Amino acid sequence: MASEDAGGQAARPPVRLGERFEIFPDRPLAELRSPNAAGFVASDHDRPNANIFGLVCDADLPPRHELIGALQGLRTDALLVPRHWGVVVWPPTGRRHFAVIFDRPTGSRVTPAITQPIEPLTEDEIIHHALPGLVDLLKDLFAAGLTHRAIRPTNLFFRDAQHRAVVLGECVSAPPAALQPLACEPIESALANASGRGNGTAADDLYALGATLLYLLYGKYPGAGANDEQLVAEKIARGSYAALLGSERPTGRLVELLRGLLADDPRERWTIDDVETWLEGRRQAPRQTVIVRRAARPYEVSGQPFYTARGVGYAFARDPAAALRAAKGPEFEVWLQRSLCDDERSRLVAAALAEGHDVGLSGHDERMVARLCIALDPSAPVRYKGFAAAIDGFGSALVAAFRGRGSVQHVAEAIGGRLPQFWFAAQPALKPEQVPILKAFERIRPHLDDRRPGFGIERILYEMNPRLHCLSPAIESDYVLDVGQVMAALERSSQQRSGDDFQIDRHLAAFIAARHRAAGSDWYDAVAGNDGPQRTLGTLYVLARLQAINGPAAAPALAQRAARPLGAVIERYHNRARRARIAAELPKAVAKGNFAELLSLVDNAHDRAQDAQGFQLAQREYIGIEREFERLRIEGPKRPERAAQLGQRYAATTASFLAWLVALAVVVAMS
Amino acid sequence: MARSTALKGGNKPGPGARKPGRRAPPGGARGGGAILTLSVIGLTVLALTALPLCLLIVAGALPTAVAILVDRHPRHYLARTVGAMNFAGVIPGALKMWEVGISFASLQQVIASPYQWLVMYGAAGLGWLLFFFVPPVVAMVLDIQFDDTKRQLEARAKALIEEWGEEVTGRKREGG
Repeated sequence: MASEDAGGQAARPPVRLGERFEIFPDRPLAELRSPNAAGFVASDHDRPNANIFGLVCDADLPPRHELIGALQGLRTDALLVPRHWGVVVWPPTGRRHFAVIFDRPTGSRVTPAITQPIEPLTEDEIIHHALPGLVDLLKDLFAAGLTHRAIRPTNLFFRDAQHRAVVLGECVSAPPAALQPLACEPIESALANASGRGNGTAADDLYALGATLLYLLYGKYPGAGANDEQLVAEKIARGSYAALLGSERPTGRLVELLRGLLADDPRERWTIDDVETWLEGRRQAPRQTVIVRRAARPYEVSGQPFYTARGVGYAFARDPAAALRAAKGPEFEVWLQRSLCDDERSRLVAAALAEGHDVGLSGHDERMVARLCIALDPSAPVRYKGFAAAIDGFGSALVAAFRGRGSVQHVAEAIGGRLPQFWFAAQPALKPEQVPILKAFERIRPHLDDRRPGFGIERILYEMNPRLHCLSPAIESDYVLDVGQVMAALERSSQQRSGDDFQIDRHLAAFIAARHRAAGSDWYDAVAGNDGPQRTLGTLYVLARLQAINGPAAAPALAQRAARPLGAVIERYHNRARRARIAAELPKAVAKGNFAELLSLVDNAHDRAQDAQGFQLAQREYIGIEREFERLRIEGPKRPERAAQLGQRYAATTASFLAWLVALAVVVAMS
Repeated sequence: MARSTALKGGNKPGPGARKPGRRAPPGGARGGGAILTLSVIGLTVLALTALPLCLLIVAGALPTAVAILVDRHPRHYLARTVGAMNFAGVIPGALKMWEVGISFASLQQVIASPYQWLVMYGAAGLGWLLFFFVPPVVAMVLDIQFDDTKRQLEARAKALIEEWGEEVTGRKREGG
């Protein structure tokens, strides 16, 4: 946690956030902390009297970066709006964290836990003080295409001394709805893993509003004695309204509102306009009631009777073995056709059982169960081997899995098994906002089959979470959000652990590939190879390219680590003098920390060409020498004979020459 | 004759036959026969025209005749060496006869001189010496040449290995 050790050390200096803000690590605000972020006193240089605080987010779950900027321009008193944000170096944990500055709420938190009862608000207080501000806020949010996804009693603050008006707490420090109690989530969302609930829709926020109002009205959840699992089962079996109220039968003006907001079918649920109309005391437009199809006789799964397709889907997801038995036997089909009498459901179940060309592959049965669950309850999340995520919650669910909250393998198998595509196919109609999600799944799926660094499930992680910081163990604690910061972070990390060699891990490669579009697969081909020197060079090339993007111009500590295996690279040169020259110049180039220069020294194209050419010539020359040796060896025994022949010939020639010389001399002398 | 033997072999060269295209060594047995024939014809002509001179040459060229008889080398290096030197030794006597006039009297005058015999046979002896001493000298020169070439090749091979490593020899896998 970002708050660890806070207060346990001697007075620490404030931590700067941008030019204006400072956060005080030694002054925690326990009452303002969020489950995923610790609150601290903060100050604003431009407004010294401003009553603000800072939330320092845990690194385990990603904040909603995309929402923070959108909220900044919002003018409202009913929400803690982010004033400033950024990455800070946090001394208590010795790492970097994402921090957000908010205006401090004037009142206390409504309740620290939903299990803790509070003094209930009266209907009048809710209708005239608490609700109007929240409705105005949600209207603005929905108009901007945003969702809060953190509307819950524990995220409400009183705005006045009388504890009537409320302000909504922050909604940016954790993934959407990740911290929501199941009481505040509609059934579809409650079925998903906490980190995989997705941005959802306005209807989800309105449901949470209804559940929160119910809490304010009663000071507790009357039906919330059960644990989470039972509560979801109750919601499915009896409906949310009845499940949350338990044995209570409310009367009064709020009943209509609560029924409208807690309707389980989003089409039946009140919209924000409906709530506003109701607040103004006008009549609601008549709404067509959606009838949930119930079977004439129940279908039993694990000894429990279920009357609805959603109920059976829920049971199947919890007991895949029972689902498999049902899929292979005739009873389930008979129940679907004759008892439930839902043709659409029967068609989708048939499609779920027929689809899947991966028979024999690992997880085939589980994927069939997942498709079966989707067919039975198309609005529910994709559920596979314990992993459950809304269609827009895969990204944050994958982050959570990588951070130890779930199985990465299961997410990968769900995507690889085209379960999201089947989910889309099962929807009655594709909503416009879902089209980009479907395209994204189609686009990222091939990455799974690519084993090279820069691809795989890690690449999908960064593609699905465009503002996620790099989770590479080398720089995770540096909270790097941008490719331009990677080199500086690697240099800092290398200064602390200079002992081990540097390697580009899969997270770093995937982060760079996802964030820097110019990074083609050629960046990683060498890094992925089995050839050690080639891999070292590939790493250097990636680092040189990163350094060219945003520096720093010198990264000597990183260069020191990356250059350690360069001996094998230098040995690729044949010429010993060239090797010696490069080895002699290497320490100087490493000390400069410029990777382009380092590469031009160890992998110079001109040097390489000269070396190859020279080596080829040398090999030819050596072959020539060996042939000459062979010739000498063969001719050695014949040498005396040859010498005799040559000698006799020379003797004959010499004698002939002398004879002619004597003859000439005698002739000359006698004449 | 070697060439005719090769031709008689037809298309299939028999054992001991010369390979097609290879010529018989010039001046072989056939060459020796030609020299002998030419010598006999020359001496016959000389005997008919200048008998005293012919007798001097026959007597003076006896070492050459011996050399021709004992020389079994196809190229007759011994005969050529001794013959050339012997010829040089006969020339002074022959010229002396020419000056005096070719007659039996001048022949007697020349053969009566021991100096003439020393020159004729001494020159032939020098030919014998040349024939026996030049080959060992050549062998010695060839040995020196061989050692020098070997030393140079070894030095260059060593330099190549030092400059390019053992892999230049092809005995070590590149980069291994």
